Amino acid sequence: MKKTLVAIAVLGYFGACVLLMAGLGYQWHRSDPAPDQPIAFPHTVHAGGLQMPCVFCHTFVERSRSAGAPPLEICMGCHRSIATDRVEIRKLTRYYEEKRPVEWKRVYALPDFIYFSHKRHVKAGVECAACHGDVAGMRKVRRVNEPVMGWCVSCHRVRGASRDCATCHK
Amino acid sequence: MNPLDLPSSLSPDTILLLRYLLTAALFLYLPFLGIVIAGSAASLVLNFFGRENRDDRSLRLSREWIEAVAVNPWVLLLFCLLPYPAIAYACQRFLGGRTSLPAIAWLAPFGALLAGCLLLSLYRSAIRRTTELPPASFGAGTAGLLAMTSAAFLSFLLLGTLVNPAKLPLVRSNPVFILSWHSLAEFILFLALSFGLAGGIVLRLLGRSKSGEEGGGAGYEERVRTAGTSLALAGSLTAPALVVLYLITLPVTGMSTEVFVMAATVPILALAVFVLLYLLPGKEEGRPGDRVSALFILMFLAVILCDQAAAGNAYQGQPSSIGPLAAEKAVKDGKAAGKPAAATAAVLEKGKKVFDTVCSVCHRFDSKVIGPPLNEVVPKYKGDVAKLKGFIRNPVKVNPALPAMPKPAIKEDEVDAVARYLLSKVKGGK
Repeated sequence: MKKTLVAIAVLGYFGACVLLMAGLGYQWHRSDPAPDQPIAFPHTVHAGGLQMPCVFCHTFVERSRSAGAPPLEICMGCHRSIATDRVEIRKLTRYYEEKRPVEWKRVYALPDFIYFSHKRHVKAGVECAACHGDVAGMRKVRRVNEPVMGWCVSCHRVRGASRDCATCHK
Repeated sequence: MNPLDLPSSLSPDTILLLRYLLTAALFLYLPFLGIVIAGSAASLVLNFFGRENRDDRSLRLSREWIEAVAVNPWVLLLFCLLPYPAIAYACQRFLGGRTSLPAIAWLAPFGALLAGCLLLSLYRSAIRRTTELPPASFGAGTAGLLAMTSAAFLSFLLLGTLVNPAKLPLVRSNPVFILSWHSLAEFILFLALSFGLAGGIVLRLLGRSKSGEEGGGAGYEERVRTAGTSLALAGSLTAPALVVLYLITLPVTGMSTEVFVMAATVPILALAVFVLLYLLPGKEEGRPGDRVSALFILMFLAVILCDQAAAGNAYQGQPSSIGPLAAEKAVKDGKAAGKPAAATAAVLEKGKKVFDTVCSVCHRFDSKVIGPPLNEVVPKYKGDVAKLKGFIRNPVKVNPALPAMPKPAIKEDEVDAVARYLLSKVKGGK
């Protein structure tokens, strides 16, 4: 009898551990590090093969807090005449003609209480890849760093940037 | 300079090969180091209490246990000392273009391993002669155990940097930052699995001691069974919770489905150990040692594969060289390039910048990308800046085989600079 009880308790414990792991896995899955985008834009072709600089499309990165997705005018500058028969380009053209914005899914998101400026970082000479990883090698953009406080602070520390609370928590 | 610092930039195939090498070396190194640590700890404890209580059985078990686990120096060399440099090398190359950790981070675990192996060999040869150990030999055993444990801990600190590459620049600036909860969780998990495995190994001694030695007989068998079973059960019961802790402390960027699947096999294997030792006993002559040891070795394999998958995920998409070093290099390269001699150097420099960020998207000098190669089209302007500027401002389709050039979004001074740059750069442009 005692043995059965112990066995049941231990089985419950093992089950609980597996359930906890499944829960952690689900949490990770929900955070979705590489979301599907409305248009499957391949950075491998543009930033990789063609070696287009990031700022060619993300024009605001040097002068604004947010890097921003490029206006469709930039895409259409080339794609009015290039690869117009591809499925994804046709999708792009439709968005452009219907004057609808593309609802890109966020890959990196910071909470509201964080002040972050792309401009400051670009001006300080931080390469895009230092935070966003080797985007030129990604067919589908994937989050390679979690923008959490420890991560920010460690880089600020190494580069001798301000570590005052008010720098980020305005 | 770090002796393991070699020119960086490896092909993806080489990196993959190194990752397999690392996994294989870890699979030799970690279980074996674990057996040595757990076995010598058990032997030292038994020896201490055996002498205190004048208990021959404990003393004999203490000797047989160290014989079973700490083996001879050649095996120590083969499984502990040889795989370690391979691990250090693979880790180092895995870190790619980032400058590596200070040499001490790689050499300290090796020194500890070497000292540990030597001291444990001394302890083993002393206990072979007599179980009534002199304090010096007992001290050597304890020091050896401490050295081996710290070698294991330092190795886990190193491996911890693989799942959190973003932290490397920080570790270089201050080595204290190499400490991480993840490494600690992995180290405790390693100890739990090691004690379980040492339990499994001592269970293999069952049924081998019929020779009527001192402290032998059924009582001794019982002692072996109790010691082995309790260690293996303790290992199997703590491992699942520790794997959960391991996953909680794992950086999110290291996670993937494979990591969770690998981690989930540990509780299943641990359950098998529990069933084998607790639910299916009764047969006194049963010898579950082989099966229990094999299950623990599989758990080691699962954890190593899980950790390597996590390291692979964490490195996926990371640039080969980041951080202040790349920035420093860029500054250095800039300085080395020197200043152009011409009077319009500043304009040309500006033109180059505009070309690199805007025009180079479609144009190269010597080859066709989207637009035609500039070496072919720019000479047609025969040095006429105004004409070229006119085309750049309002491009028109010239060659029907090529797409029309979009109007570039650049200012008038940039149009001027880039036109001058192109004419100066192309042969026959002027």
